[in-house]
Amino acid sequence: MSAKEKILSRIRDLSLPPANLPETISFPDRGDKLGGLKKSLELAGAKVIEHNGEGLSFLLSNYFSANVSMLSLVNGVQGNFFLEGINQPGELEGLEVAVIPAAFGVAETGALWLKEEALTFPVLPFIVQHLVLVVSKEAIVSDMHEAYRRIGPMHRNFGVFVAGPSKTADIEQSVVIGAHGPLSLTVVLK
Amino acid sequence: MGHPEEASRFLANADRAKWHDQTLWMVRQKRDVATGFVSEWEELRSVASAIKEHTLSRLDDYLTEFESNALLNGIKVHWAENADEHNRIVLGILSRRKIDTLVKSKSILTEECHLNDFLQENGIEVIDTDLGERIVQFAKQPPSHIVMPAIHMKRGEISELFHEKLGTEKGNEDATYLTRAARKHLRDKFLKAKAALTGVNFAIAETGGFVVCTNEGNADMGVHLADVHIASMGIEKLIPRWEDLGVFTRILARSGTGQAITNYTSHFHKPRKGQELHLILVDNGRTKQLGREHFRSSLKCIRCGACMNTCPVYRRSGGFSYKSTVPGPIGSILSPGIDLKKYSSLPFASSLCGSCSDVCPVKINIHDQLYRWRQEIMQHNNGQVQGKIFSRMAGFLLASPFWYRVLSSMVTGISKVFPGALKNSFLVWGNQREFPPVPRQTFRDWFDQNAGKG
Repeated sequence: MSAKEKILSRIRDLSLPPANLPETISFPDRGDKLGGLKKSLELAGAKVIEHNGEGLSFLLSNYFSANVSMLSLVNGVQGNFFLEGINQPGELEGLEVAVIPAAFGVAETGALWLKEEALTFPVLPFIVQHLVLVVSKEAIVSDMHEAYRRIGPMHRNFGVFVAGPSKTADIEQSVVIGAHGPLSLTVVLK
Repeated sequence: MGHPEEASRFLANADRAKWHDQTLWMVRQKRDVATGFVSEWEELRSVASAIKEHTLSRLDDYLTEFESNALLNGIKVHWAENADEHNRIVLGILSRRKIDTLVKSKSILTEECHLNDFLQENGIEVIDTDLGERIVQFAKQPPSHIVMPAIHMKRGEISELFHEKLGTEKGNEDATYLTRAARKHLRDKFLKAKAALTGVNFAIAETGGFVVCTNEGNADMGVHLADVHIASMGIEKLIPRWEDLGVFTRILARSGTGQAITNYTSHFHKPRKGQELHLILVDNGRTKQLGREHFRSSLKCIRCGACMNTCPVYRRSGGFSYKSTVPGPIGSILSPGIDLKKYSSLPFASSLCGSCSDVCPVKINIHDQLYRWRQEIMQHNNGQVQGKIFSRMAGFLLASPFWYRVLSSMVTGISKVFPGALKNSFLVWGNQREFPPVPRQTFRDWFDQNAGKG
């Protein structure tokens, strides 16, 4: 018998009493979603900017100097680093800034949903030194239940909820922003 | 050695023990703040518990469903009955591709399987990439906490270790400086690694995919750069539906660290173009635990660590005193199922205060199970002889009013003359405890003097 058959038959032989699967749950809208998202993100160490979307390039130039490498996957933001010609994900090492669209945000947790389709290289939001995520103020859901319903069970490409800059507290519980991933996270709500 | 002896070694350094206690309590308080924001917290716990209960009740069906969906997605699925099979599967995957270096993110299962030792004996370099795990790997120690692996170490020791291993400035103990040094060192490893191994927080039967949660981003740095991704999971990590993730992502980090959610919650369903994705389903004693009616629900555990942070015994005895992969209250009900003799002292390493059960996000009745294990251990004759003698004596004295009165007046009398008489090496229970002052008079004597006066 294979390991699989042995494991499955061991479980089957126990003939455990059935227990009901609860219905999936949902909760009423919690109100001020924009405020909730901002608060959650700031609590996690992200910088949040509200902006109408016009002149975003100019706005970002206040935060990042023009001579650093910047990749933009967001319409209306001009970068100076391009994915054409990148073959291996490791070639992204050294990229300073990436401006990436997030599909939507979750007010309750500050989590922003990034899809592989929008990233090209899944490593992008992790390997870059400073991450800028742009999300529409209209695209905010209340909680994680609604978030998973919105994505749906058919999603098969890589997807990640990002809820802050990478961080660690493994040295005496001192919080250090910038562990392995980005040293900072800026979220533009437009 | 049992837990009491190991704990007294930890307590020998009183300052550190106090720091450890207070730091973990601070994490517990953060958990309270985070859960306090969620008005439906208790409902979430009940639903999470019921989902796990249901999944465990028909785990064979869900494993089958999960495997067939994972295969459809292009994941190569492996099954391992025990630690040895798991380790050989990992080695086999690496050997076929002639890979000699593996970057790993946190996986308690691979600690349980002693994968690192096995791979290193077979010529594979293993690099733990979670900062805390890298620290303990440098120190040649196991993690002392499942969420905060290096919580037992002070920054001075980490600074010394990094000076030796990474060439950081001697005496520089700044946490940011040390973290940046590790970041640079590990980036280099990520960029060179051909294979990355991760654990699994949740696997979804409905979609055939799995979720990995980190704050550092180390799991993703590893797998998105490597040609081969290996994910190891215990068979109890399954949940039935995609939407169930809504429940579990809300409770995991809030319980563990007091964050609303981990900074990265990554969802994997298929290999990246040109990549191989392997998933290993491991039993290693889990089906045995599933068969134990009173201990079955310990398999609901999502490894948040909340029970450790709150436990008055864990906080004051340190993770190493348990000598088991998973320490603390949950470890004390899981480990005896793996080796009853070796871990027979763990269910006694508890005050049975029940705080672990109160904070558990999947409502495992941990303290009831600790009490149940104690009974089984005493029946198996694995209890401490001293404890047994005292229990017998106590049973006799408490059942006999005459001898009870004789003894209580003796204790009162002796303590008046020799105040330290009750603290002696024979009575290990008193080693780290201060006795309250013994009353000058027994209650019985007081009653006899005062009865009828009021």
